[in-house]
Amino acid sequence: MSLCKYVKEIESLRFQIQFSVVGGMEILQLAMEQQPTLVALRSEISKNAQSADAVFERIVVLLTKVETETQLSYDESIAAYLFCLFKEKPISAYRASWRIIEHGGLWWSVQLAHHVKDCIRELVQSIDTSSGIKEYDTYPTSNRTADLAKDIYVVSRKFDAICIRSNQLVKQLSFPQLSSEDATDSRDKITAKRKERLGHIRSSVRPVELMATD
Amino acid sequence: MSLELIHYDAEISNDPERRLVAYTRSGWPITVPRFSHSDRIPSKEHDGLVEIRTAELVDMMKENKKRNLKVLSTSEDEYNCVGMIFCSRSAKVDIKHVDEILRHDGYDKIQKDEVVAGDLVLYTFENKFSHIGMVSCVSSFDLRVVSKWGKDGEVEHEFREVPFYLGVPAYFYTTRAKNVTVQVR
Repeated sequence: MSLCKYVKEIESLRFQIQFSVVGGMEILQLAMEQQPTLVALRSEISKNAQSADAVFERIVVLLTKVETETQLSYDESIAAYLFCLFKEKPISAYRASWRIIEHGGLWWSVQLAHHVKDCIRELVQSIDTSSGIKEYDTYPTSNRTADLAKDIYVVSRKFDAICIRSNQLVKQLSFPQLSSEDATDSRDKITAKRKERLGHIRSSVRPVELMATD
Repeated sequence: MSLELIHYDAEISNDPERRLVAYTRSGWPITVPRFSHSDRIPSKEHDGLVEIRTAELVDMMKENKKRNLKVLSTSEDEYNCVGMIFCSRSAKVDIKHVDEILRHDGYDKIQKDEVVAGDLVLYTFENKFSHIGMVSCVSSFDLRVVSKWGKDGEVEHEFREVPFYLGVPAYFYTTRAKNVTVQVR
């Protein structure tokens, strides 16, 4: 199914009423985990980075529609997009969650956006507690906008760093590069050398990085 | 990397602008989030929205052979199933609070064959509390329940006939004192 078809289905009334009936945030998340269209959309986002951008753009478009559309509130559609982004592209979800919170006027979307924002900030702070992500909610609105771009940049850089480091570790752990001398060694010696290298790699990684790669 | 969403209750309770305190029958306070349509959007723009959604929901249920549905209210007021039963239709209370509310308000768990009108049915989805309704009619072949379906309408339905994500009926509760016989002179 193409992205257009996912969009059409997610923004339909039939899709929205599946989730508008639920009575709690936890149930909403469980339902969204299982909903077949959202499972497919998550798979599409994970494969194609452009899909993530397109989903982010749909959130922005729907936020403008919320105030003018009388037949649909799009609350559940926006929440569904945000949920998919959060599971596959957390940084896009972080950016989208700020847009949704600033917009307000929605029920599930705003609650989910607060979850996403808090979750990512907690994760970032656990990686580097000295970074001091600011508490926006205590800020006047004018200051929030100015600092938002800066902190999104900080968060993005940290996530990029984690991803690059994770990829390096996976490559090193899976395919240790052996020298030509190793080829002539006996099987036991090669195994011993591999263990030594793996031990070196593991000891060079800080505990927080290991946690983030799990 | 796997990310899981976290709870945000602590943050809500520290921000007075984003919290609303609802009281149950016993006077027990529940702090609920305050992100409503009415914070931003004039309600007249959304007149009829709940009615449209509820009608569509009933149509969808009828396609699935669930026919014993009667829409009682499509009020635009903001409350959900828990708010309807415990907070006088005045608040949206997350279903995760229901266990505490039942305990504080003195409800007892009962068997299905002990149920009478006015008792409560608690639903579960994936072993988590998902929905609550009030029994409106009990007969030898039917047990009917009134419940508020999330943001949509109040519906009277057969106790198993609810949308998929509201789960299945799992527990029955009452506040009736056990082993008490009322004598009429």
